[in-house]
Amino acid sequence: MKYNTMKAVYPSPTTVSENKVQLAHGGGGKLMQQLIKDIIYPAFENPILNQAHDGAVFNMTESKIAMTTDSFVVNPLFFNGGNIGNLAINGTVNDLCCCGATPRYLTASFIIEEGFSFEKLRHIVNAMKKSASESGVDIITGDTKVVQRGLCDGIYINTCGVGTIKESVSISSDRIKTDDVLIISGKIGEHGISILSARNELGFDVDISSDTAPLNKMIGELVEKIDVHFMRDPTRGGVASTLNEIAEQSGRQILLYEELLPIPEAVNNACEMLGIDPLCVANEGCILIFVSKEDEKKALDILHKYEAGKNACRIGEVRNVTSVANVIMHTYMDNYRVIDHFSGEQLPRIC
Amino acid sequence: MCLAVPGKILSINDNSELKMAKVDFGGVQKYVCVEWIDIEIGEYVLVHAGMAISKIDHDEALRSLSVWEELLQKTDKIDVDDYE
Amino acid sequence: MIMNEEYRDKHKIISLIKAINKKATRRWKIMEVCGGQTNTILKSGIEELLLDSVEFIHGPGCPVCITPEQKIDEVISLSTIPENIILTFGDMMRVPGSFKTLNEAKSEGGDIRVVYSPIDSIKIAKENPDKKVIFFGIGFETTMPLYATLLLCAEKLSLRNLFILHSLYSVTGILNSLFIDEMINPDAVLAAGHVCAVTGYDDYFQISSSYNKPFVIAGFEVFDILCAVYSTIEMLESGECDVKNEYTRTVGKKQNSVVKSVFETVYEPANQKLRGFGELSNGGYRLKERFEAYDAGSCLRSELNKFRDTKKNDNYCMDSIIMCGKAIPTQCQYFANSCTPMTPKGVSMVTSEGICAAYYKNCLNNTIKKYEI
Repeated sequence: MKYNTMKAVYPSPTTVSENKVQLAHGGGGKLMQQLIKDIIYPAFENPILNQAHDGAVFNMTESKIAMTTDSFVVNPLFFNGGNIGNLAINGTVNDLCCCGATPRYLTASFIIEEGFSFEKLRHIVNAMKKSASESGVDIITGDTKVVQRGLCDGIYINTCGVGTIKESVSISSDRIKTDDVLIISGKIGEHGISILSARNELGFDVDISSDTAPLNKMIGELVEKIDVHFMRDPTRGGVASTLNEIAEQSGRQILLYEELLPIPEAVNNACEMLGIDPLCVANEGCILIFVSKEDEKKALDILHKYEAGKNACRIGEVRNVTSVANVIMHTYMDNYRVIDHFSGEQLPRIC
Repeated sequence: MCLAVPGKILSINDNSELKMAKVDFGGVQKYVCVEWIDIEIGEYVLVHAGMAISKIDHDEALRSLSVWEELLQKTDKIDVDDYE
Repeated sequence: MIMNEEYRDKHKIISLIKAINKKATRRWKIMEVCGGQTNTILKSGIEELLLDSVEFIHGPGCPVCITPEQKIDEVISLSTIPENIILTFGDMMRVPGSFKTLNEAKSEGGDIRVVYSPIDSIKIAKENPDKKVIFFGIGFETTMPLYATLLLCAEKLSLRNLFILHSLYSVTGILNSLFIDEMINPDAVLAAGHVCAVTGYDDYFQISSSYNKPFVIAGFEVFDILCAVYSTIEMLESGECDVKNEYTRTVGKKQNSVVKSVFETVYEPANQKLRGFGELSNGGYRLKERFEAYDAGSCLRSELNKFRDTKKNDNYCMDSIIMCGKAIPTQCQYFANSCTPMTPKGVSMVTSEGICAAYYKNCLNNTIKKYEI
């Protein structure tokens, strides 16, 4: 178990108060043991983690495996609807879902800034535990490093996940066909706007919570009952960037309908105030799903049974590629506009 | 030229260095500077980059909308007449 | 958005378009000055629906686009000094100066921060007493009350570490210079409602009569713009030349007297350099002497030219011609080929209010329709 072999990047002891993480907590000594024993183990406990080895040893029966990794560096760490801990689990679980996999095991690595409070760390670890048990995955190995103050922004978390895929399931962008229907499983823009609001810099309040949620049960049922051609979660860069990537990979054009987009009014209004495009705002709890026209109703019926999918709806369709643009949108005024890759950072404008 | 959005005044704070007001933009709330305009709670303002640059006259908005609606009804009617 | 729904009603919009097309006996050239209005026009597609009645000429109303390269170079120069904190608006970050953008300068270590409002810089200046906090303040009259507030507040609080590097533009100054040029000859002008919300529209009567062009003050919603177009065409068809206000809910004829006195306290008209235009006489404003201690342009003069690079940007795209309405983006060889919002060559492809970017996003309708969607 790596937790026993951790080394601090700067292993010099300091005199920080006792309710804060000190460099020595990453130093491999008694303090480090205590941190792991008090905070990490009680939350993540499971038979494989309890092996307390350098790595996790486990069996997988299926031959088709999906694996993914993601690092979480969100600012602020705590926001309406969750914290970095929820994101770290849900993000990786959802990435596995999009591969058509059943998420099984996750790893968790922490890079913690010296002086980070134990209370916050506990909150984050408990959020990870909650999301992990909701999605039915175990965290089976991990690592903790402590770095000098100023070298990291509070805490960074990396998670890596493995999942198993049934032989019959094949999710791949080259399976997207002309006339396929594009479904989104939830509302657009809630996570990004809730983060922007929590980030006090812009100083606005909005009654929106991040949509972060593990979607594996819902998506699990979907891929079991329906031939899903392709799925992606529109996280960073939002729906616009994700669809552009998909269109490029599949060599097809995607047509959206403005009137069908489930954008909450408050998200729309916040975007108008800041001068940003809701389609470029990040999401953490919804998935873009491509199915054949015949399967549309069946797919929506399944999604609607779940809390995270109750707002699922069709938002567009796949067309033959044209030379015009990869993603276009039919607007409420009956014309078309190009939906481009999101360029750079979403920043408030004056004009 | 300049991005500006309409909002409704929820509360006014005269005590800080600048006269500030909490403004609602349809579910999004933000403190904006209302230093130069005479405004009361419940009224509408046009906000540009964190400052109310003008009051929006709600009654005038309704009045001008109804003038246009009347005009449009007339022209729509002419359209129908043309067909007959 | 509060009070905007009524102005986005599709049926009302369609019937107003019909009314305009009925009224117009020919195709009139109408210039909208403001980038926000350009965006509304292109995004809604009304340009196409009014094809027989109106040729829209897109004017130079994006303050980010017309900010001269040298100003951005100066800001970059200021950012190379460790005790300086630069504050600005998000859309300034990607605009190229002569050498690079503020984003690039930031990644090279400059402390450049994006804020929502200039007002936020008071707090930042207070929190950083040992640093110089410099707001890169660009804009038309709409944004000027914000800088005035900032300066008056800094004076009241005796803040000695807050500065403005300004580049302030006058709408009427730019319009005057546009109409002298015979290449740009619209039949009428839609004036930008947000500027008029600050300045009133008294000044337009003189321009309107001396160039014999009807002016109509327009709002920013589709319906607002159509109302203004209708009113413009009504005047053009009857040979009338006047200034009318179709944004009455927000704009009064006279400038708000308080704002007027604030303007007079802080600013005076001045010659101003603009990207794409060069120097215009009375094209902008400067701070009055009383505020010299806050004017980065004069009191940090020695820090403005610290930075020089060897390689100059060499993008010979048409954007300066496009910005003053002499050409449309599709006439530029780079447009939508090597120049896109992801890989901008000219400044008006960089910012989303820029004409090229607006065209790129919204104006491919005809091409799209060719593919029979």
